[in-house]
Amino acid sequence: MKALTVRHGSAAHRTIQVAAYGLLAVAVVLIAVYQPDYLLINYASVAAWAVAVLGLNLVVGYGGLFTFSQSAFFGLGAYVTAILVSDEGWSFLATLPVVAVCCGTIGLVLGLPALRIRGLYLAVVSFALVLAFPSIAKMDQLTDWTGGANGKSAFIEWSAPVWFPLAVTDRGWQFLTLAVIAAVLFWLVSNALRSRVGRALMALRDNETGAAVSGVSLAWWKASAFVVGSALAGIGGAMLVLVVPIVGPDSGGFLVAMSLITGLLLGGSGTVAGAALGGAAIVWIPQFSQNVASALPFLDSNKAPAFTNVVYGAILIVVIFVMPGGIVSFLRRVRDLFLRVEHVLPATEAQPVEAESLDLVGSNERAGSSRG
Amino acid sequence: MMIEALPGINDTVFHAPYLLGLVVSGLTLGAIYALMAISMVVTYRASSQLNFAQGEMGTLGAFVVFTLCVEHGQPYWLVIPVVMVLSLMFGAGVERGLIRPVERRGAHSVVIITLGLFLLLNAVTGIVWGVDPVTPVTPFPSGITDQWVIMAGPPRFAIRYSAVWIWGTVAVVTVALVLLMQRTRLGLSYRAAATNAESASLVGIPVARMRMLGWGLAAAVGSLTAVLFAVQARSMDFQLMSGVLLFGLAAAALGGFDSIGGAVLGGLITGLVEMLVPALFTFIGAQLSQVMALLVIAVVLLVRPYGLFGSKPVERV
Amino acid sequence: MTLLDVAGLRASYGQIPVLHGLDFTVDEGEVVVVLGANGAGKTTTLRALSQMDSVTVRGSAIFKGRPLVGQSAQAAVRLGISHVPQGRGTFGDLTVQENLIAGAYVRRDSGGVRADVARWFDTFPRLAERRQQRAGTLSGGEQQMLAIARASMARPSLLLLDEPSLGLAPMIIRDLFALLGALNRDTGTTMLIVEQNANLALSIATRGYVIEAGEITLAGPADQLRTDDAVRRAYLGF
Repeated sequence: MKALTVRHGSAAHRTIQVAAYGLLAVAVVLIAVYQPDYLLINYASVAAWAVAVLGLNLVVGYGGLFTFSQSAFFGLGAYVTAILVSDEGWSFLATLPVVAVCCGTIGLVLGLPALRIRGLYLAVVSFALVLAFPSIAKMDQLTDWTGGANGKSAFIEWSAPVWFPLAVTDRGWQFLTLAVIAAVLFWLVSNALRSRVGRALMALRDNETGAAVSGVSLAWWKASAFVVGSALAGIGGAMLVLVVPIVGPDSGGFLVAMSLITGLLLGGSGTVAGAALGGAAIVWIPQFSQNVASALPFLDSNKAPAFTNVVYGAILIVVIFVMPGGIVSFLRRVRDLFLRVEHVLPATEAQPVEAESLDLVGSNERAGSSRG
Repeated sequence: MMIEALPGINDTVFHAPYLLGLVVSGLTLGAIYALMAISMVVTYRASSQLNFAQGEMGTLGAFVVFTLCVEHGQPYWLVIPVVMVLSLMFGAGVERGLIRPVERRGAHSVVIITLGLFLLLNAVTGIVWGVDPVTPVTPFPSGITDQWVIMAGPPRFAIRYSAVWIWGTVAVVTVALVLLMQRTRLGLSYRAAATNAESASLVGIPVARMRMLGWGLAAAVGSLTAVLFAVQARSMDFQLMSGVLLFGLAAAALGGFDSIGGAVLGGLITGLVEMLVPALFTFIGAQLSQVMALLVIAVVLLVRPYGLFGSKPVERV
Repeated sequence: MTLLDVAGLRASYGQIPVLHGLDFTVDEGEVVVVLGANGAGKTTTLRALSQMDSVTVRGSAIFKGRPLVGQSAQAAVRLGISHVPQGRGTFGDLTVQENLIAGAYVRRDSGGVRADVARWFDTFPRLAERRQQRAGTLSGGEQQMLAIARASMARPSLLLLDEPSLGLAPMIIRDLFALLGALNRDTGTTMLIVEQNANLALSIATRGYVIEAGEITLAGPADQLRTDDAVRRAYLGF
């Protein structure tokens, strides 16, 4: 079966894109209506984690700053929302902008000195933040707000409003809400990255010296990536509170940091779609590991939870071997079997560039390719 | 002294026995961090990568030592070197089998592999040996009363025998490594490959094998670190090394990731900071003491981005 | 006697082909120069001969009667090929002396190695002065001397040099080529030099080739190339 070829940006291409997104929207609605509650919790969580991974992606994948500390913002966002909702009676949606501003500002404050530090050193410093978060959350002086080691519960009433035509449970409505929020944020980020902003970021990721020489202001772009990335991580954490109404000191700790990083790298760093897949990975892989673990006959029951991590670790290793660009690159390969998007280079040079195979992963994605 | 007048500062720190006790603890812990830092630096110099699973590999090694010594009654002076050799082979195998195939895809892939390995080994250790803490093998007398009393007190200042043994072991290993690196053909080839892999292969040095050696050495040192830490802590479980990995990294960063000497100094300073800073500033509270040490290091790195002893690499355009 | 016989040499970096079938020879005792613009494939040619990992090589290259293609980089060195890479490739963290010793990695005779180190320090007193200094702190010209000495420590049958004049001041470049010429005359070391700076290179060379876009477009004795119009305009600038 020969692959269908379309030119990037052409009418045919756009039609396919709209159709694909339309299908996605329909699928989301169908899931909200027909899936059982216990699965809807997972779907909703995927949306929340996907936003957080998108934030991490901006900082690590596009900004090139290898840092673990986004988890601290994730936890911070969760706490802010929980406190505002349960102590101050705010509505959930109203807390989101506050979270964004709060995390973005702190991200700016922390990010500015971090600009001086390079590569692995930044990783070490961000480790400190990750360790710091649970400790700060447990600090005696803050217990009134944070609930100390026991955490804070923030149950949010969330049912479908009267005007909504379809019958969805509360969980379904939670999922729909978060899916919409995630979609909006993804769309915004995707558009920003396709523009001059995105190209500048990607230039500086690939070659800092070259970028500096071309007049790209490194510090400014990196700081921006850090600010927006932190804000997104915070929003992700806040979103999760809608689904899992309890926040604790570990909400921004080491496990969360690890989850975010693995979600990012599994999904596909440096791509927007990868963030969504990363969110899915964060939610589904532990479940999958647990199922495999409990299905194995030779393990006694109290060791099964530990075995989850064995499977998880093995999956990480296998995925990286088999799908080096993350799941996104694998899916793109599959898509390329059916549909190829041709990129046409502007003016001067002779022929249009043929659809690239994924061995030149960089050039395909960085040219702002089809599905964002 | 003026310092005593400042609020929040714990002025009992300045009583000699207490202060000396903290310094000794700091140096002992620091020696262990130094060893961990050496492990990280060796890996980094060999491949420009960090092995986040290094701690767990060490824990595994320490548990193997435990099983062979405590459950099978083998002598520790034989088991520990044997396990170090086994760790060397394991580390070399990890490099060859897991790291090398994905290296050219970039640093991110390698990070995920080591994180996956971290999870895997951590869980496997927990499964095979259970989650309950055990008393580790004690190659040196390390009971509560095994110490040299220097100031009878009160407060008392004493140096545990195990502390001296730990310092001695770390010193011997450090010297041995430095001699290997500086005075042998193998060490020269290793350093050449670490400095400029392309040129090294152009003079016929088997760069791939040098990488394996680097990871192997790091793993051997890592296992020794775990054993020593277990002795120091007088207890071990499958989470033994998670904290040490972090501080080893911080120590290596402080030392500049360049050299074994820098790693040692970085480790000692980290240990001292971890002991002294919380004691000095008691308002911080127990929860933040670990964080404080890291934050101090972070501040140092702000001022000196390449560590205290590292040298700024020249970037080839 | 033909030392190196290359036929249909193809080389690529991953999927990107760079050399599209080169045919050339190097005879014992010669200095052969390869000229070409940036990106023509000069460096790739040398990397292919050294069998470096980054290059996929196909075709035939017979060195001293043995096939090179398919061997490891280490085997190429053992066979007698020494490569001075572009940019010198100094072991920056090692001392000058250690750099020289590293160059002799494939040799087993430690006494001979020590003697050679002493000889090179005689030839380059500036290096002798800095023997315990970290090689990364040397000037460009000194590093180039060091690189040549290091590559020669293996007592190679064929010395490959990749743009030795790159980044050096004009006076140093003159000294450099004088040195290379003397080295070839006194020790008979065969050299294959890749250069953009055609004039000086051709002045010490026996023969030369011109590479364009991965193919040899011109070949001939050095004197002929120096006066050839096309070469003159493209590479000598007048």
